[in-house]
Amino acid sequence: MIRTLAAMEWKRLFRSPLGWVVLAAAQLGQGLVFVQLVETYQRNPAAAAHNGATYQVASLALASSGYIALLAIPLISMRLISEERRLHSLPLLQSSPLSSLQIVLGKYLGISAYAILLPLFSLVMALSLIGSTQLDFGLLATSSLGSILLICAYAAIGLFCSSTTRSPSLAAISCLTILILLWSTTVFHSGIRQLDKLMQLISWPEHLQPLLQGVVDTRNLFFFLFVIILFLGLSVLQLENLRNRGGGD
Amino acid sequence: MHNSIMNTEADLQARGLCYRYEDKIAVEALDISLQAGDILGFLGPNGAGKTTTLNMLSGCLRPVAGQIRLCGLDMQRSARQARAHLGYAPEIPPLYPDLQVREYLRFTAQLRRVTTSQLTAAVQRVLSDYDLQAVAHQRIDTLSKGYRQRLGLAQAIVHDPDVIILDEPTDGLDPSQIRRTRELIRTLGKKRAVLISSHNLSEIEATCTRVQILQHGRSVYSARMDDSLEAPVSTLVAFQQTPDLRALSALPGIASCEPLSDKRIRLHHQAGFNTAPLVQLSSQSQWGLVLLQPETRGLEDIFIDITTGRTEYAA
Repeated sequence: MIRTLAAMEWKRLFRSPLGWVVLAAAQLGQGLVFVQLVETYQRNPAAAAHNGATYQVASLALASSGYIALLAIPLISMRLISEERRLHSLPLLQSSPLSSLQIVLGKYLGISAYAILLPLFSLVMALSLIGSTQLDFGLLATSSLGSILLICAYAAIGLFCSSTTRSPSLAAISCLTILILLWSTTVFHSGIRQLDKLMQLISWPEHLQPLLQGVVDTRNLFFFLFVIILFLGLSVLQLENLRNRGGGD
Repeated sequence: MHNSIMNTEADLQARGLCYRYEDKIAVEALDISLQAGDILGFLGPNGAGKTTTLNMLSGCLRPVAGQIRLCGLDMQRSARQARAHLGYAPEIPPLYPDLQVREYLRFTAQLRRVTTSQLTAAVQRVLSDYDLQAVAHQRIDTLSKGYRQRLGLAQAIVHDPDVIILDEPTDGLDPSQIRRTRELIRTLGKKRAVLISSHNLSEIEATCTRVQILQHGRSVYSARMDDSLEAPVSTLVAFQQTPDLRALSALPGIASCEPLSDKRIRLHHQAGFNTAPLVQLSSQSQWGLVLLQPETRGLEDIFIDITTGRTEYAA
């Protein structure tokens, strides 16, 4: 059941022009960033020697997919549940032998499979350097893992935002707001030590940066998994809430 | 009440259903029982709680109180297993505009656990039953309202469910499609339990074997069609001479006499009234009986009486 729903979500993303346009725009953006990174690497041999080609080009290219996904994920996740509510098609899922958890997982897997294409594009571009320089595949693996976890966390937040409203545009705006907030808390400084520490703890760069540098700390992996599970759980609660108070149609 | 309902567990059984929207009671203490072979017409004025009830029965809305069992399975404890026996066509068809008709039906069948080996045959069957072959490869957003409505019905039965719930099934269809859909519902109702909600009283009369009327969230009338609707409860009589009203009122089974003119009278009586004593009295009194016309009360009369509070019936 989950697989059926995930496959349908994946298929429907490619039925809409939006799915293709977002993917094309993301690829264009990532391509430009990649070219820029290669040029910077060639122009600055000192930094290149210090950081290595893998970090200087591949890891930063993968990190750039996280910035581009900041706009892409809200756009593609906004219709996941809000459009079902707007088009009155949610009763089809609610009256089928599917639990709310299965509905959420099916939709999440569908959108995640699409979203992962973004860091995969960057990874393919990074792998194109194999012939011209020596790549650190360990660093490439941790950077890829970090980017994929980041984008999967984005998708979970997008799904939750989509479940809270009938309006896809409102879902997109609320998703974008949460994603930007979690980027900006890293520069938050109140002077109150505990609060600043908490803001650091919930910021994306705090947990992504070590992975981009090849450091695998389970606390960072746990953070991304925690965000994914938290927002998927909230989405399940939201669907259950729709069953309790109506409004799902 | 249907005898079999008393003896065996119904395919769809709801007891004491309640739902409230904040302070407003939408449905209260509602019982519904439906067996394979029953086609239950669910009627009620706007705001009576019909859609809320259908949402609860289909699993889209959780009742505040009460229990729903589908084919012996509790809708709360065994929700997924119970819903596998259900086909639901909401008033607004739950369609995905960007999918093709055949693709959509395959998806809905897979959601309802139709196996891969049966998938193609199941989809083909409903495409044929609902005359959708011509648009099988067309995108749903290009379909006319009639096709969309039929597709909404097709998705509800693609998995051959035991219990089928249809909300306004012929809304938006042309007369020939309405006739075809009614035939299909009657065919489905021979082996399955079917519940239809409709504002169209003639549709309920033409299709259903039972009727249940809802008002202010409560069931105010429930009966088999053939028991209550076809049995005359009044008889129109006319004589050549002016009859004696007191003698007519004294006849066994007569509740009251309603004179329409000197010689035309409407006799109100219970169902199963025997006309033989009337004919005999007229003959003996030489009134010259020229008209004896049993009057069947239509569903519309009953509906109007109940919803305007003119008559109270057993729920």
